Amino acid sequence: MALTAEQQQTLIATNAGTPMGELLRRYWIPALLAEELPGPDCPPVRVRLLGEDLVGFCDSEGRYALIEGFCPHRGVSLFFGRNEECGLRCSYHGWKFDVEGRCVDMPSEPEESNFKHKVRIAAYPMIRLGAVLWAYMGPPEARPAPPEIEWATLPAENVYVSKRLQRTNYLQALEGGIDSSHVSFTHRFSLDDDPLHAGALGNVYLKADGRPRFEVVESDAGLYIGARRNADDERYYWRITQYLMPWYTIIPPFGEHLIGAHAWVPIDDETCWAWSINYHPLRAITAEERRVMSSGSGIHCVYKPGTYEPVADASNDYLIDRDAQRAKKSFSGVAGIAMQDASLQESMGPIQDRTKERLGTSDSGIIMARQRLLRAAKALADDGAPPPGLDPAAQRVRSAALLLPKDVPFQQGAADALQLRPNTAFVSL
Amino acid sequence: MSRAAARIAVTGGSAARSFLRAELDDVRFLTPESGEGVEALRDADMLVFVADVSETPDDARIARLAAEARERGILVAALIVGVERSGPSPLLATLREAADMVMVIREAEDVQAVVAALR
Repeated sequence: MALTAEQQQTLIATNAGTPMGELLRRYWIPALLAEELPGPDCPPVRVRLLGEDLVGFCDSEGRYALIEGFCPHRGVSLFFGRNEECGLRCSYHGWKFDVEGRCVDMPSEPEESNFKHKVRIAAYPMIRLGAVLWAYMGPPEARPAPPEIEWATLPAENVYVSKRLQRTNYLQALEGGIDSSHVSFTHRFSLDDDPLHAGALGNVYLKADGRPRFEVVESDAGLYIGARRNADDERYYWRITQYLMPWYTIIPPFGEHLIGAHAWVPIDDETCWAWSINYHPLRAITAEERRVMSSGSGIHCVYKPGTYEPVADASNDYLIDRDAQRAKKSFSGVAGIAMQDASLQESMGPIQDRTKERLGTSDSGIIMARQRLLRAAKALADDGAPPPGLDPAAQRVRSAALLLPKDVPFQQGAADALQLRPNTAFVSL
Repeated sequence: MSRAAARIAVTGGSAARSFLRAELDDVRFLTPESGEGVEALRDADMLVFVADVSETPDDARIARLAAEARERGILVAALIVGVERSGPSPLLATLREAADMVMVIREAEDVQAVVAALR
């Protein structure tokens, strides 16, 4: 149950021109937190996505831009440029570029020269939806409608978004998100203590049955990953995760707590941004919920000051606490759900060798997600087939956690719960 | 050091045979007609029931093979093609109980790739 070396390479390589790189560029990409570009003419920021070095800025009229990271003149980083008067001006010789990558001023050349009209750099559309700036890096004619995954469409006060640097290929992180069975182990002792998970009835079932059976069903946008655990003589406890192409997961809810979701976006082939989102479709997030999330609870983490890098990392063994491990306060000894995941995924190395792995039945979601990605990449490369999941209608889905009679398949018993109907409650226990 | 691929035993009716368009290394097909059972599983790592969702299940055979597989430490999977459109499928109901994991895909042409991925 391992991948061939060729399949692995197809899955992990995301630079332009690679099959997966071309596939991923057909989707809107969570590129920046809106807080990173807080307003017109704010300082530009470095952005590295899918192996491309870029610079993001917000121009004088509030338009967002994501342009090539270096001035085409002599290769200077535009991060050091001046963001002024509707463009980003290189600090070396004053060449200035607008949000579409056009060179609009070239003060180092003769005034009568039109050379600037011949110079253009790569520029990608970037839009704001809530707390996230989304970029599109694919062919202009194939640009899809903006994403409508639930958390991207809610009022800002209903959503909390963070991102953290993870030193692995995106696929390793994504597979961690799809792998629902690890929750019974890695996070076993954290569920009761974490303020965003504590008290859910589902925690009892999660801990009581560490051997869920999986049923993975293809959906329009990705996969329904159903994990069933024994609840009582007549019912199963079902947790149904949504995987949406190409890198989104929606975690089954825990009681009435905020819903959790992720996106795993390649920076390059050895690092990715782990986006973590909590949201509630019907109410604003409370001040206390925001406080605990910003202090590293739930699926978020504590940063090194001024960065999006976690304090706990490989250099300090993720601050592992063997006493907490022994005392069953933390299964792995690492604190916090986010860093419990990150520590284990980074321990595999930046690119896990999937030609040597031994998957089991609990990995059926991972097996199927890989197949969807491989198939979509091949179909695009061979036939130009549009990738799955671009239609906003296919993105309007929810995860669910519920009890069902043993003879009722989740596809039927949870059919309504898995559809996103605006202004309705999610199904959870 | 590279690892040898897992050995897979696939079983199912004529639909399953037609879904698997070509022989795959480390995959052997058990036909129901042959009456093959525990001996044929030999040293497989996984037994995969492959079927179309509309098929009528052979409950006794599925249960027997699944039990024999488990006894030998063999993982049991089901790969189903199709969508349950009008109520629960009897086949899926049987396989949900027999298998440790169930995968439901839409296109028969994808069976080959998924089985190959299980190796």
